Amino acid sequence: MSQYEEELVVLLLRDIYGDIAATVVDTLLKYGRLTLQLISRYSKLPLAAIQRALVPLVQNRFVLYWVDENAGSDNATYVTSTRNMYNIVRSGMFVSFVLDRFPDTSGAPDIVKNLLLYGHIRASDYLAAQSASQAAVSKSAITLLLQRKLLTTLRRHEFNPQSDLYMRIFKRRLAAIPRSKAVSEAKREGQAHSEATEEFNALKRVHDDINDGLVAAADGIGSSSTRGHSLTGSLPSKTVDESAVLALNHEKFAVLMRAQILRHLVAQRIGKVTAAVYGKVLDCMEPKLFRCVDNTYKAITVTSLEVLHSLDASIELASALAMRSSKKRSRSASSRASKRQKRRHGTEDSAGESDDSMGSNNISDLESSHQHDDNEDGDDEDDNFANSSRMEHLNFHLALLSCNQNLPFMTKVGNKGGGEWTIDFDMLTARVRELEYDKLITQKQGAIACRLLRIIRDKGRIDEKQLARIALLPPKDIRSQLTALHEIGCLDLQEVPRGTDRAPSRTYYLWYHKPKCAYALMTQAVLKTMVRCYARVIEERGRRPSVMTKLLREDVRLDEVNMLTPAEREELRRVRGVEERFIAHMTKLDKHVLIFRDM
Amino acid sequence: MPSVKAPKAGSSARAASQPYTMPLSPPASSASSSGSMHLLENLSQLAQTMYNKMMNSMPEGHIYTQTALTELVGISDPLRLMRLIQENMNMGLVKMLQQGDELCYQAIKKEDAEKIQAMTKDEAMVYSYIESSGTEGIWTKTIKAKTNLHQSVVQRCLKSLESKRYIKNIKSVKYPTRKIYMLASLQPSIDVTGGPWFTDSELDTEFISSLLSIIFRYVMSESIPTEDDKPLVPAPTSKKTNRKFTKNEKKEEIVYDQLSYPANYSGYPSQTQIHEFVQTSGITTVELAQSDIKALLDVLIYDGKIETIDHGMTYRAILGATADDETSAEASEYDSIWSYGPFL
Repeated sequence: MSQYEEELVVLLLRDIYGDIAATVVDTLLKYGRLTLQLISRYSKLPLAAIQRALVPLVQNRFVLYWVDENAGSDNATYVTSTRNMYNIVRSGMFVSFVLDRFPDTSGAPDIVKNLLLYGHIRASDYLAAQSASQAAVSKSAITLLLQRKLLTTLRRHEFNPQSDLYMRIFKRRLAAIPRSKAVSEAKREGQAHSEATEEFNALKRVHDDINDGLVAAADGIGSSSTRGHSLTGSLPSKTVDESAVLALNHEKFAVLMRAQILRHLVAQRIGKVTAAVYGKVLDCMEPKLFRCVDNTYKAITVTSLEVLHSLDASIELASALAMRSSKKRSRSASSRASKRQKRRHGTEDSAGESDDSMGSNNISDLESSHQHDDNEDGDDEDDNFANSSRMEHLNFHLALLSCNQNLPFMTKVGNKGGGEWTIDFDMLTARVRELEYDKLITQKQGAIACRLLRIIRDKGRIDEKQLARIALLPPKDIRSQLTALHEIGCLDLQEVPRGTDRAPSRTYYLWYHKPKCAYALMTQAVLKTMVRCYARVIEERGRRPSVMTKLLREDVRLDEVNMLTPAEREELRRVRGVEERFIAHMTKLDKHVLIFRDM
Repeated sequence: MPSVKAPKAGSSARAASQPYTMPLSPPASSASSSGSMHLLENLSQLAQTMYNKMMNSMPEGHIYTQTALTELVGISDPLRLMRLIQENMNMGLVKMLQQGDELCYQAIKKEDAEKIQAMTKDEAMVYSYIESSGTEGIWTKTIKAKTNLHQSVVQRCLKSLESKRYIKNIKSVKYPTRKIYMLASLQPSIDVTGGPWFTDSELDTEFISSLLSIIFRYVMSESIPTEDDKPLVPAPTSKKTNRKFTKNEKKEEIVYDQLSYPANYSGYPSQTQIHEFVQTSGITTVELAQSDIKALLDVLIYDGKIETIDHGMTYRAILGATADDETSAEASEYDSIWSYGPFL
């Protein structure tokens, strides 16, 4: 949690849920855990208003509550969950993602939109509010979303703060272990802690179960509509458990966004075809990945065969392969010969080519015949590769993905099923973070600063002279760059005195880079920018009060074309244009938050 | 140039004999008359023979121990030998060195000896220190400290020596403000000049960046396939009859433009190849060593333009990197991130 993240969420809440909700959250963020009475006292708001404001906040799990077992329900305390509130920023991405994967008619986008509005919904309530035919569609959509883990079920305890929950489990566990003289108190507590951690993690992992929120289909509704889907094809038909409470699964969404980022990186570094293949590899792993940062993560493997089966037949795998052209190959070999030839023909550049084709002298004769041979060889290889199996084509791409030691997109771990592959996400995301950070530094400070940062990262701790020598830059030029990097928290300086006197002239100054700290500061900077963006959106709206207040009317909102004057429409169009730009910008910025913090 | 060798030999002698003592007994200023024959003429016959033997029996700059001299001249009486040596030393024809605990002797060329004989006592002393500094050069302050001469005297000596073109003033990369002198006939060492990257003791950034861009272009041309490196299977749009593509229309939908060498491709350039390319292309007349090329390649790696593969044996360009320092098109995707300035 940070200053700017807090500012951002309060700003978002003020815009979406109103002033009172924002004030309540602001008070909670300022003072920490509070009871209802205390919120009222600090925020100087009437109790009833706070109660009304708290309802949507608790529904969305923006504010979590805790009722101590020993105290009555009057003594409920409230705590904010900044992470849940921050997820509002991602709601647009979530909807567009679902729209991308599921057709508009499937009902899935509607469910997501409703969940974004209400926070959580009991499945039966949602279905009951719709007509019978609509409900059937929605039911299968919910089933599908649950299977894809984009939806998750909520239990009662998920509205409680995790720390309280853990302490309750710990206390119960501790009480269960009998006191004895043979076991020290510290050991007893240690045992209770490990037991509690296990139970706590198990509580979280309930949602990882493939049948979470699903029951065996009693009638044909669930099964008939999902039978055709490849994901559920092999599974026994399931349908949504109507008593389940549904919510959006932002953890899973982060996993999917990470996959997109990785895929994009492959497209940049290797190529689009390979990126398509990599996307399939990630898709194959996806059902087993529940969250980005997972302490209990076990390496997931995928075989080449699995990838091959899921690969779209229309993707032309073989066309991406290049061979060293015979022209280039012979160029280095015959460079001496061609030089001699050029000398003979003077300095004309065009002469070389025509001579090659005409074969006017011995050397070019030799050369052209040599080239011809090469071409024929190449063609043979062409045919071999073109006619070889799709599996071989796939292996070509998989090898490309795994061959780079600097950026290992995946690694081979076995030969089962044509090759067994795994992805070391920790290492890969660390590299992605580095690359992203470098990109931002290049943007902000220039290529030279980025060069210096990379050297410092590579060497650990390094003094300015040495740095100048490696970077091949004059020392006076790099100092300003280094201080600029220091200012934004990218670098730190360590003093190592050579003697006891600590005189500056007799001190080494070593620059170093602490990734964790640097990324955190960068995230803060990004969050600050997001706050500014959103504040600007609100400001832009505030500058046109008349049209904005008019737009609050229900009838105007439903029929903008007729109810607004052309001038007002033009004004509205302009505001919306600005709004769109800033919101899109925030989405871009959120990608950095995802990379540096949540990935 | 014969005069080049003598100080070089001097420097090697310096390296051999660490605690280098004042090499010369003060030259007799009386014998300042010029003419190379004069120096030898002033010697006794035996001393002349000894000098000639020292000069001729071994390559120039050879260091003789006393025993070696005894054998060379054939005089076993140390006192007599000493007298002959002293005679030579008085004329500045033999230099005394210390190697460990042992005293050694070195013959000086007649021309050099004559040069020294022509100098004043102070000049000769200053000259000897400058000479002993070899290709590193010596700071005027150090000369002053070692000779114990007054500043103005040292200045006068340096001025007169410089005007005679015996010594020259050089600029050091490490200490740009210091006045450093060395023998006029020598080339400053790499430590002083800073190696190939320095021109007039300043880092030649333009030279470096042009080399960087040339090497990058070369690596790119060798490691990123172009249209010439035709794909083994023609792209869906090309027309070749012997291919069996039935679903042409479907292929049209997804047109991916990618060309990659296979993972086991072995044609990426190595450091040696790149070195060879730079040498033969005639981009620069400056002699670049393999280590210099390595330094350039390291910088390119740190710039995120190339990467090593095969455990650092070969290099390849990173896709999307550009030769110039300007931010690439791909990076400009984020250009507006800072426009609202988180660090405002």
